[in-house]
Amino acid sequence: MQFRVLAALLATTTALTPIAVGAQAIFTTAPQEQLFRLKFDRPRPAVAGLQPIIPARFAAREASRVAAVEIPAKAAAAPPPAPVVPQPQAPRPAIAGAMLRHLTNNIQGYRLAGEIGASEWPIYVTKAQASRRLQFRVGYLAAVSVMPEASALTLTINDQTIGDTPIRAVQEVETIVFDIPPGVMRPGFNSVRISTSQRHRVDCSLEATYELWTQIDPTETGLVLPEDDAGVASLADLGALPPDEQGALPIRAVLGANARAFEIERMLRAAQAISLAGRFEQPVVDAGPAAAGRYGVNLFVGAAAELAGRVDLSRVGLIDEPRAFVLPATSGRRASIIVTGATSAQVDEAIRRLLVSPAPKGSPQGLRAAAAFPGYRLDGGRRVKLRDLGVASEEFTGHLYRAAFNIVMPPDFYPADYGNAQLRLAGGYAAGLDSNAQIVVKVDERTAVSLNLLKASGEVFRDNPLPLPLGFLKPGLNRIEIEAHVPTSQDADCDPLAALRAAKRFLFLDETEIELPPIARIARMPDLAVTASGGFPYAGSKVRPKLYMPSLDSDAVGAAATIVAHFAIAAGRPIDFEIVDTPPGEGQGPTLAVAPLDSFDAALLQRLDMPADMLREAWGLHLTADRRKASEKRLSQLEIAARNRFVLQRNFPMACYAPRMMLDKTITAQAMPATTIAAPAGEPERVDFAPVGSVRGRAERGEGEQDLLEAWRDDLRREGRWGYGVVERLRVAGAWSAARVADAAQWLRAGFEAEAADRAATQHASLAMSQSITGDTAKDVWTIVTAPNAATLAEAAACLVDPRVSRRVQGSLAMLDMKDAKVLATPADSSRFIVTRPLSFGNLRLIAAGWMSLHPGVYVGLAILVAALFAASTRWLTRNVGRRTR
Amino acid sequence: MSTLRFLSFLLFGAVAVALATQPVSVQAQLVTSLAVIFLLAALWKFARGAESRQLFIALALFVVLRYVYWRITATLPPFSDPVGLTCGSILLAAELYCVAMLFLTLIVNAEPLTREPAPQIEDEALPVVDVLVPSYDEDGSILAMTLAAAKSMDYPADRLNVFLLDDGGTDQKCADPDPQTAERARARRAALQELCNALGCYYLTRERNEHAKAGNLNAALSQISGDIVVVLDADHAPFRSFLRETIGYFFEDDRLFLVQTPHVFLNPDPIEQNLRTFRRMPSENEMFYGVTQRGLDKWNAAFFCGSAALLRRAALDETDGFSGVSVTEDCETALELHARGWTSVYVDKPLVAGLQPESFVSFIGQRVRWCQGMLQIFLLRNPLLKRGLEPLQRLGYLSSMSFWFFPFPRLVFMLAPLAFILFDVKIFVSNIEEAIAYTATYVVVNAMLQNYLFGSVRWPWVSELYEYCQGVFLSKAILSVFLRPRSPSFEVTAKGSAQRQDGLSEFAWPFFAIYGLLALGAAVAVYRCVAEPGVRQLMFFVGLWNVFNLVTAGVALGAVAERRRREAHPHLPIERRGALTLGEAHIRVAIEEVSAGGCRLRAATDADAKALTAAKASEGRLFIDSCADAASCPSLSARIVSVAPDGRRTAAFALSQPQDYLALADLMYGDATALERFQAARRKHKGIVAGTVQFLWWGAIEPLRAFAYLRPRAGDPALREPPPFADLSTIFGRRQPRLRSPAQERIPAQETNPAQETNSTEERTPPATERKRSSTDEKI
Repeated sequence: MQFRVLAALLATTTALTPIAVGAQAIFTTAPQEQLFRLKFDRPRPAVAGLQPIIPARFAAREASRVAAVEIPAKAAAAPPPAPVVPQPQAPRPAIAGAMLRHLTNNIQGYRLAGEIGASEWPIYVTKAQASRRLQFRVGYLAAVSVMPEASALTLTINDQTIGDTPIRAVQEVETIVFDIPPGVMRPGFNSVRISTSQRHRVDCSLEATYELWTQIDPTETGLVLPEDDAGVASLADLGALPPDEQGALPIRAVLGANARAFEIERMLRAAQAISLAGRFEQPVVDAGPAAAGRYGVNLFVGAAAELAGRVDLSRVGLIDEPRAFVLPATSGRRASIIVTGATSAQVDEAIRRLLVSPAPKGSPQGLRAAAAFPGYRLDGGRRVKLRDLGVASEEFTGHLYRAAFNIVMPPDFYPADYGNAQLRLAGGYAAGLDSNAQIVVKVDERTAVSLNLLKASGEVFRDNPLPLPLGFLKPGLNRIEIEAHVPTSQDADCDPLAALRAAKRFLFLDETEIELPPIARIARMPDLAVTASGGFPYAGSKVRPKLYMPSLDSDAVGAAATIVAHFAIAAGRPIDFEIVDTPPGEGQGPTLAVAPLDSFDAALLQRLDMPADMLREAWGLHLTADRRKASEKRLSQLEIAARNRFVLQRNFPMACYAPRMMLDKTITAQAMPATTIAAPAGEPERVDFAPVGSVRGRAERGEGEQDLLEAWRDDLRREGRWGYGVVERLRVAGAWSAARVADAAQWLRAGFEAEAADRAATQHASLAMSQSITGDTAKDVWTIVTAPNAATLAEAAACLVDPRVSRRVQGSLAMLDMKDAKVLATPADSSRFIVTRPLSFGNLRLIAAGWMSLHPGVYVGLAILVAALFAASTRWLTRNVGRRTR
Repeated sequence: MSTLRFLSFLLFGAVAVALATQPVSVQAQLVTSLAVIFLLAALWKFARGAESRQLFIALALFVVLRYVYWRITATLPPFSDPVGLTCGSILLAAELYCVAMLFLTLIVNAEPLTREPAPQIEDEALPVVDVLVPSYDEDGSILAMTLAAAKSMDYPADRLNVFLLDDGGTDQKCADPDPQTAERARARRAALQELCNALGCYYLTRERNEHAKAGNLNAALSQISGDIVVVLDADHAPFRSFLRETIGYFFEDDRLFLVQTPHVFLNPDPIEQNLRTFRRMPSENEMFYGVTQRGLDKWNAAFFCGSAALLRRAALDETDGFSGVSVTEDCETALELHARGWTSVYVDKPLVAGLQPESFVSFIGQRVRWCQGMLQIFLLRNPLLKRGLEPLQRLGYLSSMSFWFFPFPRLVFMLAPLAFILFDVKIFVSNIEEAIAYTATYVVVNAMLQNYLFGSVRWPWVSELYEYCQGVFLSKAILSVFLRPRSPSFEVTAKGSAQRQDGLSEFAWPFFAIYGLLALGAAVAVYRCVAEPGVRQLMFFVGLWNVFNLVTAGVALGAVAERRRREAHPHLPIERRGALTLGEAHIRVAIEEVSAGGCRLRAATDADAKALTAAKASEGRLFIDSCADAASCPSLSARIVSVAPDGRRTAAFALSQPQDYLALADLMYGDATALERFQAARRKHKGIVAGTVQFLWWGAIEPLRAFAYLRPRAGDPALREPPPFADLSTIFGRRQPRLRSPAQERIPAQETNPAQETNSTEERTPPATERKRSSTDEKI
């Protein structure tokens, strides 16, 4: 836009070289723009920046909400137009006494970082709830750098914008309540999306965008249900069970005294069924008497006679058949699920029925969100559009665009660089970006591929393939982030107020898709990551997996149930564990062992290569200490406030919070922002956000998108007329080449470097998870979860299953440090292949390719060997056929 | 056992393919390619022999296979970019053609045969040999030389008959409606009859000029009865030992129908002439005769190249003589006889010396005929469908024929970079790491392989040059064959029409046009490299490729900027003795170089040197120490025309009567080792680096010379004419190309029947071989 110098020479060149598309490095597949068909007659808006945008909104589908279209010519010189469409819901004070349905926890936590962020949750409402007049409350805290005038938080339900608010809560959590129009929520799953658009107060650099964050306060956020809401009344609505304020679903397993193994097994299965049905990513099970409170669920499993002492079943009549039902919450008790029958066999049957969940229901968007939660399960040879992963189209005006999604690879995916997952990008960028403008795709925070956006004239593309080497992915959950760094030269002399009327810089279309090539399918063990994020090898095991519990102490049972439920969630299906009290012999099935360290037989630990001595030394005193669980400790109001603030500011998994350890830190953490906060003086200028005026509003999505692409093309054509800035291009040149050289050097190094780490235990570790394999099949896999003592085990298990924590688990030994909610992982010294499916030729080939990719030396050796053999056989053949040289 | 050998070959081949098509990581690919390159270099340096040769090929093939696999599976533009996809597919097809030709070449040249000398046969047992010298319009002196040399061959005189088959003096021509033409034909007939009588040869002609050269030969076959037929082109003079070196093979194998010997030329072809490489660089056909025919010979697939060959009459009778469906009757005949179970032998020993066409136009005309002929056979007598051929014979013929599709890939490679530079069409999807790991290493390995296999007979990049020079014109000829496979007719290649002035060829203008286009491409590439940082990296590689093309086009400009031919007659270095009488002086001399026009000699001893210096007379006779018969003492009238500072004299011959040609034949064609020495002197291995440097040098200076020729020079009458841009119809005529040398055009009589026959120089073609890829061929 700013390059309007048009030399005659350039005009000639433009005519000869019709286009200047495809500037991106060497990825040469941008659609060919016919930019030489310059449209000179198209009027050019006098002021390009007059189209305020709330990006998230432009994807809205409701026609009425995307009304205003073309900016009339006369408006060119006029002041910014008044908001045309739906006035965002004015924030209302919270309604006291109402019931808050919290959002479930997810992998990205509750933080929306950067200039643009969005997170989507599936939330389940019952039919009764859907018919009520509902509100949604958002509590949030933002970084001090966020400029309220140019930052907004938008709530979208089922792709329908409910409202937005400027982000100004930088000192304390602010809550806003949005009314949800009737008919928006549907019975079943609904999609709730909270998105933010944030700009920095003073700094326009790319780095500064990393300082921007808005933290959703899960304790203050959720669906506001009327006080008299009945909650879950039917088994069909298990998804409507209310998670607690940290997003976890507390499940109280109400077991009798001295529960026997088979009772616990039944409990495990029932807990898994509930977690799976409701898409709760963080079920936390504890054992004890029926619990009170609004959140979570009490779970009773057993024959009617056994349950008699624990719950009053008099009102449900005689139980003479398999029965599973819900007792709605009362003032003194959580909602309770009773799974029972007259006999033990009937109880098993009831659990089976519980597990057979009906097809999920809900709005299309909600089902989509549920399917993509925690990650979209993607298999080799398949492709999916990002809109099905919850990523929305966006016209972006800031400096650093980010979109992210999660995919779950099969647990037996063999990661190596024998292929590329193609991310086919649809979108575009505007003219006049800086030389270092680029798209970076990160897989689990590692940069997998980057693409320079170097056409000074801008570009739009529909199918711009970015190859993500398969070696970047891993079995189980992967988070893929697309970042577009789109700085311009104006960013140097930063005018934050300019951000208010900034021009569009980047276009992202949700028709972008990711496609996996055929992948090698063979599991490698030990690898805790596959277990933690895929439930492998327990889920789907042909032999009933074993849960070895030396002691059936209630804390240990709770920990085991929590972990098992987590595995089931990760695998997406229930796991039928058999509880054993002696270590199962070889080949009896994959075994999970959960117990405090001292409950294990030392010889067993040694056999399983568990560094017991190291752990014992590190944990020392904790081993025998009879600690009260932190969760049972009563916190003072001050402590609660401190905790919340700490948790919010650090995006800290709340389940990992251990008060004693944390408090000191919290105080310092609290002190720090207080000094830096500069309250904006006076009433900040009110910014009216018009709905996306630039979207040539069409109700139909496909057309709308088409138009968007066309509109960008038109814009770029106009730019193309002026945009051949020679000087600019010269300037851009140097930096870029240097960067490529550096890339190449790093790339070569990366090919040969092997990670090495020592097995180390820290005394801060609260829990250790170790895996080993004693044979060659999945049946020989042992996973041990242990902690210094039972109380810590239960506590740490609850922390471990936070999605933010569990995705860090990997290697053959993982130590969880609750203090930092960090996982210290030790990679496996050697791993074994486990055949998970019949070895077809295609699969074997890919496995071989993967293995040789990881061992290039072997490939070289084989190549030379085979060439030599071929040469010898050729010589042997040619010497003896045809005529011979005499 | 043979099954086992074959199975093991197939098995390891399959394993190698399976391994090469493993989609391993780019790092593994790079390590593999570099390791292979390193090994190849080591093999080259330290190991020779058949085993290491096979290892070299196998290793190189592995890298080639990996490249091809990657190229096919990963580099085509997506469907969303139809223009790029189309262009990309064309480029890919061109590359795949080259790889297919590489494979055929490697099969054909699996182990080029080295033969023992032919068994020597006692004179009494020797069969009757009929030497056929077909002629259309060759000059009498050329014919006299050929006939004299043929007559002088070492063979019992009563069993050696030499026939001149004159198609320029047929009844049809003598009765031409145009009185001038008729008169010329009658005069020609009379003169040649007289020549034949004098030399002891037979003059044969026929009624009508039908079926060109094949018809001429077949007409002669009906009048002769020898057991063995030798075919010699009018400008192909055999050396004395020709029959002794070849006839013995017929006694080893009753089913042998052909003994083919290489064609060697005493004068440079236009490209050699214009680049001045004749004395230094192996001729273009040496790759074919030096390696490929030997390779074919292993598979009993060496084929007839129209001249310098012996054929068994009995075999020819089976097919009613020479086949004439195509304009290359030679290969067609061989194909037919191979299919009937006859066998062939190739003798890799130069025994016949011929002449090249001298102007670029006639050179192209010759190539058009070969190309059209081979493709006619490909279409009308496809070796893959022909019954009776052995599998490897099929592949051999296939490789020789499909070689002639080279113009298309060559032009694709020449122009492909422009698609991106000028029009931004992306035809090759890759990132820089892959481009280095796959493409760059492939280019290096391919160059090494080509140079390893053919380095001694072909300098680096010269194949590209020849392909480009011909491709510009051949592409049209190929299309016309495909449209009308039976239409091309035999065009006589003009010989001996010496270029007398420096000047551009008539066919030069397309080369200037393409050069200009590529230069524009290079300029735009540089501009975009500077001005568009976004495409810099890509543009760099594509630009590099374009620069290579520009260099090739520049060298081609030099090839069509024709240098004046200073020598009227081609020279051959020899080592002979003789005596020169100048007046009273008898001086023993050593004759070092000879041509049809004269020789260079020096005194044999110091005493002779003094005598030579003292001799007053400059005219005298040169008596030759005959190879044939020490008693006979053939002599030539000689006149000393110049004296070099080192005392060497140049003598000019006065060939006044036919018998003089016998003497000259003895001198010039008496000792075949002279030809071997001549050829061996050029066959020095040219390394990749040296070859590349040489090529770049040409690319830099030759365009300057070509552009200088564009400017008319004052006082030079020939150049005051307008720039010699060819008549468009000459090149892209509607019917078959009417290729005429300037010499022909000066003789209006001959224009009356352009579709006439005659003989011509006949070396076949360097087929099937390699295609060194330009270092940037695949970059986009």
